[in-house]
Amino acid sequence: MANILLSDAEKTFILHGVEEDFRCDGRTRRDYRPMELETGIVSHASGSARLRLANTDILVGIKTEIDVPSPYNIDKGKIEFFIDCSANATPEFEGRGGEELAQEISDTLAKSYQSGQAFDLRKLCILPGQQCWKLYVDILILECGGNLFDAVSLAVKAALFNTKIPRVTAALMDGGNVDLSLSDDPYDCNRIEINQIPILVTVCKIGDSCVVDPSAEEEQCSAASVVVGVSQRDNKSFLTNIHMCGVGSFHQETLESSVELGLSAAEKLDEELLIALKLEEERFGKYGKKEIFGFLR
Amino acid sequence: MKETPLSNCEKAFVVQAIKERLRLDGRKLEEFRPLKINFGAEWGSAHVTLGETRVLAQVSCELGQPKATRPNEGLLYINVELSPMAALHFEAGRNSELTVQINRILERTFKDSRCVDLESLCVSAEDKVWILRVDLNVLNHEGNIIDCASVAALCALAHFKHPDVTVTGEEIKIHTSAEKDPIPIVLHHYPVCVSYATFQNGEVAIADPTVIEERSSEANMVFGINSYRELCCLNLGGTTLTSSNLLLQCSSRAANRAKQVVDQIKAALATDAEARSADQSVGFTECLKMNTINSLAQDRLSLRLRRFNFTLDDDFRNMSSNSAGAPDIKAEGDDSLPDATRIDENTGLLNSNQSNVRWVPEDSSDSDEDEHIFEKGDESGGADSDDKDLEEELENVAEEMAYKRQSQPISKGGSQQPVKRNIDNSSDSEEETTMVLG
Amino acid sequence: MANQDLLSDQGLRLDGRRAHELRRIRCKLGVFSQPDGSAYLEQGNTKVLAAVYGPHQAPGKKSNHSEVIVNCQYSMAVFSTGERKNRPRGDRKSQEMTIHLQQTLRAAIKTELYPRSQIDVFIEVLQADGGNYCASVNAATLALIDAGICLKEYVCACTASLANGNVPLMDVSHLEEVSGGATLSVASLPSSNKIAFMEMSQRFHLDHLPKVLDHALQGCQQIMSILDKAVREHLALVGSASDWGNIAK
Repeated sequence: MANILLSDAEKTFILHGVEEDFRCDGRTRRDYRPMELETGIVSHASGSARLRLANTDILVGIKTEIDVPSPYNIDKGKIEFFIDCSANATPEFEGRGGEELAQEISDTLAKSYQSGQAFDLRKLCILPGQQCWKLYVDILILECGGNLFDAVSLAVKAALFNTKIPRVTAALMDGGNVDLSLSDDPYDCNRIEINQIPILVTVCKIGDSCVVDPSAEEEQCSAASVVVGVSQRDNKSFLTNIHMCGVGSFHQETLESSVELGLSAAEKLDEELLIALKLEEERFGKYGKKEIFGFLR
Repeated sequence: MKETPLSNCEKAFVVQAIKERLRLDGRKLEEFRPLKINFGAEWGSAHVTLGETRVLAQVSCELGQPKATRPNEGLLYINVELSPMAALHFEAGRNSELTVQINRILERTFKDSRCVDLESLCVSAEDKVWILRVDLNVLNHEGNIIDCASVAALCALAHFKHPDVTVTGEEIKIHTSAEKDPIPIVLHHYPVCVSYATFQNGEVAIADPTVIEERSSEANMVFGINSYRELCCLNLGGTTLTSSNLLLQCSSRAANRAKQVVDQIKAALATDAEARSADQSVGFTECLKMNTINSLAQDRLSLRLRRFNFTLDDDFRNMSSNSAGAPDIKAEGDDSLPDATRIDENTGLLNSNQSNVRWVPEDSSDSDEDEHIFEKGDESGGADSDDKDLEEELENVAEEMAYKRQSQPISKGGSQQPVKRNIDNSSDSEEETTMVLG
Repeated sequence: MANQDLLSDQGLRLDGRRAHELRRIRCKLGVFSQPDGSAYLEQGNTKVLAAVYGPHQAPGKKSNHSEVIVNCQYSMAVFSTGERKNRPRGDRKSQEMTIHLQQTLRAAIKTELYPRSQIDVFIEVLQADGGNYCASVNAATLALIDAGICLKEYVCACTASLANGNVPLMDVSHLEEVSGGATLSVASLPSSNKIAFMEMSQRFHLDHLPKVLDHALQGCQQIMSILDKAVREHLALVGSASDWGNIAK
């Protein structure tokens, strides 16, 4: 991760701030920084989203492809996560420098999507054992301002919401081969059900207290953090996975309380995200042409 | 090994020389080094030397699957290998910047220009096609690898024949050359690369740069061009910039050069074919006789006055004719040193074999006039016939000089001394003398 | 030949432009806060982000005592093309592009001003629709300006091609690149009318070169005026916010 050099005095300042429940940027321990979200900004992709969480900038593009289901899961589609840490974020990512971090995030993300109740791969199946959709979720990290896990998962969820999978109108069986015909109308498409899609929340332990949405500086002060994957179903939150990172350790009680904190934060975050996505879609009409701001704003 | 850095004075010397329209090896600005092409005993192997730069090319083929997007076309791969054999600072198996660049330029010249008829390489669509692979090994790096490599690749491709096949249903039978004659590759056109290096804020371009010229130049231009004056690839880049005028001038010169080179390639191919049909021996044996020096560029003297010969005064001539055995040479060479210097400084008696241009020391008042003559030469150099004559003449001169080198080792050693002193210490020249002899 | 269709009888191109028209260029300086300089540039549907770090101390082994090292990386988002790319960088084409960018930018930067230093220029292509090299160069120029690095002048790049065998086209899109003939990419310093870099592939008769080159250079001129306007607007915005640095007035 981008290494920011902090002096001991700065670290102490941040530490004391967190203790007082009054962080450097004025937030409490449970506050998120402001976010900007825009969907559908990459025209070559079936779905895309850009999320900016303060300084963290994530661009997600989703491409669809027809594939053959794996023989172990003949009735399931496939989803693949690929994270690229652009050197734009920091020169350390040049060449293969960002691969380790990218691997960590994509593994965590893939684990949280593994549960059938969180993300139903069966919906991506076209003909069991013959044809299925494969989703390539490609994530580009353009700037690192801390809290990558949360930002990535939110952006992916938004991009999945935006994804349009062409409708299969007919399937012809010709001996062993299957001929699919896809709808020509770009507006005639399937959407992905995103309500249950999990999001990740990082809870960062700074000193003796836990905070959500750590900035890059705060991440430097923390010895350990825990990432919880949370999926919403029937107005209840379910944990899909827990990932710990950092060198430090958690006391059992702290871990419990931080998971608790993560869950409640995720609930709120998810709610807000859905509202934002609905708003965005309403604003531009369901399939209406809209002005893309992208990076111009 | 790290590349030996080029010192500022070496660089300045080259730049200054070019400003005076001189080059270290005595070529004119527009002149190319002699190009020699040899073919191996096998189909598709060619050995090309451009001056001292050598490239060995080998084409091979195998049957394989075509790309899904182009199911009825064969594939062509070009791969250039820069090994420590060419120059010590090249690392084997590492993709250096230069390798990438040469590879891409060749790919653009041969693949993107569709010079090879890939459709004729199709055996059965979507299933089996011929995959051609051109492997280029740079044997010696003395500048302008790209030109040499492009000629080698083209020669090898034009020379190559792939075995004939018969398809019966699912079965594919590959015939040996004894059963059925192998089939040559169809080439739509013959592109070669021609390089220039620019100096003096992009106002002067010199053809066929050597290593030291490449390294002290400001920018370089590579034209991939065929004999029909069609550009196939163009690459210009460096630190300083060229006006579009120079570029256009160079491009038309490059076209003329390309035509010559292609003619030479065709002639070489014809000679090879003749030799084969007449059952004469073919192969690389001929190369062995070609040249003697084969070591690394930097360690050897890069300054050579090939086309200049001395008018020696009598004393000197006697001395050189007296010298018979190799062991004496070093001592005698040292003896003759003051003489040679005197000749050079006072009378400037270096005569060019080629166009009777007199070479005069820098401070002489004649130098302006001299430059003028060179310029005239440059302009007329654009025409085909002139260049051809020049080329032939050059070869004659080169042969003559090679002969002279053997017969008059001392005069050569002496002739280098005065000019060379400007940049080097004298120990190198002794090395050169002995090497020429060896 | 597919070449014939590039220009209709009315003189319109596939996307409705005329032969000598550029695609719409929109750009913004300073999109990111972490890099020392950054820029975003859209040329039609080609979208490029550039970030500049430096000048900073060069690592020991690379350090050059007389001039700055320009270090580039060109990478394309895997979703940037019609077909998904397997990896964002490291293939031959992007390596070549990296080298080309490096050459171009070195020609524009006043390298002698920053001895023993290094400037990193990172290019990220978000969407590729022809003229990637040109958009990258233009974006890099803006990012360098945003980073406050001394340039000799603007360096702009533009493509040109030939339609119907004799009409030069300016600023070629991907569709035209694929269906048409050769494409010439030129990076120039338009103020002094010098060429910093030039690249071309596919077949193309030499007689057409002056014409096409001329068009590409004209394109560079036009792009320069667009970039210049963007820089001035950006500076006005930044400058007025700080009252042109006259805080202690």
